[in-house]
Amino acid sequence: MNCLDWIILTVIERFNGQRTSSGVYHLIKGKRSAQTLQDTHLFNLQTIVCSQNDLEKETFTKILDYYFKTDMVESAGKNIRLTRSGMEVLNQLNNCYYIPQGYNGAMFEWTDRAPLFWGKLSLSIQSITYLMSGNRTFIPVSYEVETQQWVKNFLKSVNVPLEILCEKLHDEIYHFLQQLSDSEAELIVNRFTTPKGTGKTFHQLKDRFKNDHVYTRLVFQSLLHRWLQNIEETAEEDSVMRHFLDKSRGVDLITGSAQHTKLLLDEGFSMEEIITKRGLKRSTIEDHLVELALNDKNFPVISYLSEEELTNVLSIANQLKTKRLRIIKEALGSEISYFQIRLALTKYQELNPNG
Amino acid sequence: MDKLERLLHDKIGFKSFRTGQRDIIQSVLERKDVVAIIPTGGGKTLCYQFPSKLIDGITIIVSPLLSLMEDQVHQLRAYGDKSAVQINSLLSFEERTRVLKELTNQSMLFISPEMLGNEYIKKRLKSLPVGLFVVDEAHCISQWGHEFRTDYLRLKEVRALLGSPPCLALTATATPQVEKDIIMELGMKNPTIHRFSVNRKNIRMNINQAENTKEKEENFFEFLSTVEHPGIIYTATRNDALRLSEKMNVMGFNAAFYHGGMTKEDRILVQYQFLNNEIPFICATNAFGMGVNKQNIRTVIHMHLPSSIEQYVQEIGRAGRDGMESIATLFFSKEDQTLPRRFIEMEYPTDKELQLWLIDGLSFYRKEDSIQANWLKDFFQIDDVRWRMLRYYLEKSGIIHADLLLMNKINSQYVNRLSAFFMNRKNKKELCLDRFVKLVKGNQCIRQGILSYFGESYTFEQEACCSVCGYLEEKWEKKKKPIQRMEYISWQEQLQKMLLPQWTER
Repeated sequence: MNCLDWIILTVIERFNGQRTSSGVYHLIKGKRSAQTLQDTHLFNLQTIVCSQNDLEKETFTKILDYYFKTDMVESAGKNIRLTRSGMEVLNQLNNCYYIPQGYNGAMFEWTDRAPLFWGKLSLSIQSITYLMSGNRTFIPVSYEVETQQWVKNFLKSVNVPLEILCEKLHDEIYHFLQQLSDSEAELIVNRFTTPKGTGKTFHQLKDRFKNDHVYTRLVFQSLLHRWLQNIEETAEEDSVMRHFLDKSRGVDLITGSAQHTKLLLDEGFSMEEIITKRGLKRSTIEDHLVELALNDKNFPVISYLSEEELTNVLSIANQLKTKRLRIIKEALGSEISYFQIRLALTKYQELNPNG
Repeated sequence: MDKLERLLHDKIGFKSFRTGQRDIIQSVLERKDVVAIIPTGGGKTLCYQFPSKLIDGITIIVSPLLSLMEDQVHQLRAYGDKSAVQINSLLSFEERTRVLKELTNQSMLFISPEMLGNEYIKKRLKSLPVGLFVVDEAHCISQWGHEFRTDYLRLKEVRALLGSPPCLALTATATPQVEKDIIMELGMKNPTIHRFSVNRKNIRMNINQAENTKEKEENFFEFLSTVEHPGIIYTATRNDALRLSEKMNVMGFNAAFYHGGMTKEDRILVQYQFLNNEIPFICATNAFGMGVNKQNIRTVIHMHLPSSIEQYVQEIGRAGRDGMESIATLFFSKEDQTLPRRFIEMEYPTDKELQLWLIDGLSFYRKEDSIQANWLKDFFQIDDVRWRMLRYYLEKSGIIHADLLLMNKINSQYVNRLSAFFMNRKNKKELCLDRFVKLVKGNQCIRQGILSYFGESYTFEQEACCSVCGYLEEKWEKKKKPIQRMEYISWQEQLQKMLLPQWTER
């Protein structure tokens, strides 16, 4: 059992038999869908969401097969839940692993901010150090054409000699790293590729991080999250590191299509009008509204169901300790729609902070 | 320097051609259809990169392996050739559109065969003058090639659609039978054939048979202490690669591992470490090697049986591209023979399964016109590998259309045909494996065995040949370089060395 098991089992436990194994996968993989967005908020998984964005479905399936075989999880209808022995395993893992300080999957991984920051920073360091050593051709560590383009423009736009740029970078990086422990600072430095040496993989760096490459990666990401926060809050106006915050390629969590719906809503169109205007299915527009409600605390949920209905849904969900739509609907009778229940549940976290 | 070499220097920056390249390029420039069989490491890329600069119209290169294509385009661009672009499923829709829009007369477009099936892409390509149509890994078009790809069968059609531009088919390993298939399936007219020997004289071949896995591993470690690095060690599975590399590290051989399941960033890092001689050994699955352009690999070791003679020849061919003495060693025990057979079994659905899935299973829905295609996968829990393949064939025959499975098109005749087709593929793969096993277990010269498989003769002129004819250990001059241990330096010092080298050296 390792850090990856700890993450998967944690999510299964939080879902509490109310989601399928695919739901678990989508959550840690950080699928950009209305459903995953909703699950993240409902089950309070903002920290861990998208933390395993590099996990292959095949690997995940194999791990779950193993859990079933060893009776750590069991089926609950279509859903899965932990068994008693699975719970015991998780308790043991809880003693070993914890979320590193400053880690926030929803804020930095799901939005692509940390990966973009690292892609630009590491390729810039590689480019600058290679240029400094007189090598004009080298194979970039990033295959992303857009990152390559960004770095090219960045190097053109900074109007200082390379030596000065290096010094500034050195000082600013040093300034941040000295706030970390030595092993954390080494982790960052060892990931850089320069003519003096190629960056190390997480497997090669795991010695000082519980000998677990997934955990090592988690720590590394947490350091990037702290770094981003640090630059935003404290970096001077003329800081070089500020350049790498450039959000031009960050992902807005509201999907493009929902974005269009939002614009129409803001212009005062009703839901029915939007359905006709965009020629989309009712269910699609409903997904958009739920997505918008999740992302915006001030979204007027009350326009789509009465105050009474809202309270009813929330109290039933609380009473039955479930977020499963079908069960809530059965308990409330047929007047209320699934869409209304989903909208109501977006308020669950707000009103039941411990749920 | 003659005229062609001067052009080579102007356009690419190379001073001279390597063996074979000039002949192939000359034929291509004469606008002939060409089949080129040129060993791994022979410099295949130049055979189309250089002509693409001289020919009018774009050069299309069909290549079956995504990661290889990505590495190739990335490296070409890194070394300054910005005309290299790619279109494959790794790119987003927007990126593909952008690439298509920006194509010019001089572009070298690498494309996967799947993408050539796309109507929109075909239409765009049709509107451009195509100067050269290159099919890389052309053996994939033959049922007798070790990696038969049905996608390749539509290339003839695509080529015709593009106005039948001259065609260059490239492969490292083609038996005479495969060569014939390539010519026919690509619709080539009086092609010029350039065949170069698969024999790599500077690689000696060594087979080591053990009683069991334990003995095999002991033999391996004993051998490892006598060989030169850099070296690649091929294993059967991802897990084996990981475990072996960890064991090697414990034993004091600095090794990393590589397989297709790693993140892209980590794969790139490991490749670079190896390229830059920072790690002496790599344990890898067969996913490693093709895009790695490294000249000085001294040792290739197999800890499992590759699936065919072709596969083996390709993999050992990564050693000694610089022409220096190198060694290829295959370790195997009796236990190793079942695994590759199981791999082949696992690749295809059995007759029984096809019957159950497509006839019995679907009988529940007899009254429906169509059902969701993925119902089959979910209901019968079909694994990803076989589902992808089955789905591919169902789509090809129009049974799956737009994610829907059309019920009226399935009948037992179709299922029988599919069964027979899979059976045929399975048999061919087993045959390829059998020939390889016979080669390594027999007492015939390994080199001669390989050459005769590719229709070449061998004259035993070589002194150090293989473990069967006398491996000539004493002739093998051991120039083992010591493995350098990394010394520990603090992060402060490391950061300074990276960014302020002028201070450190002062």
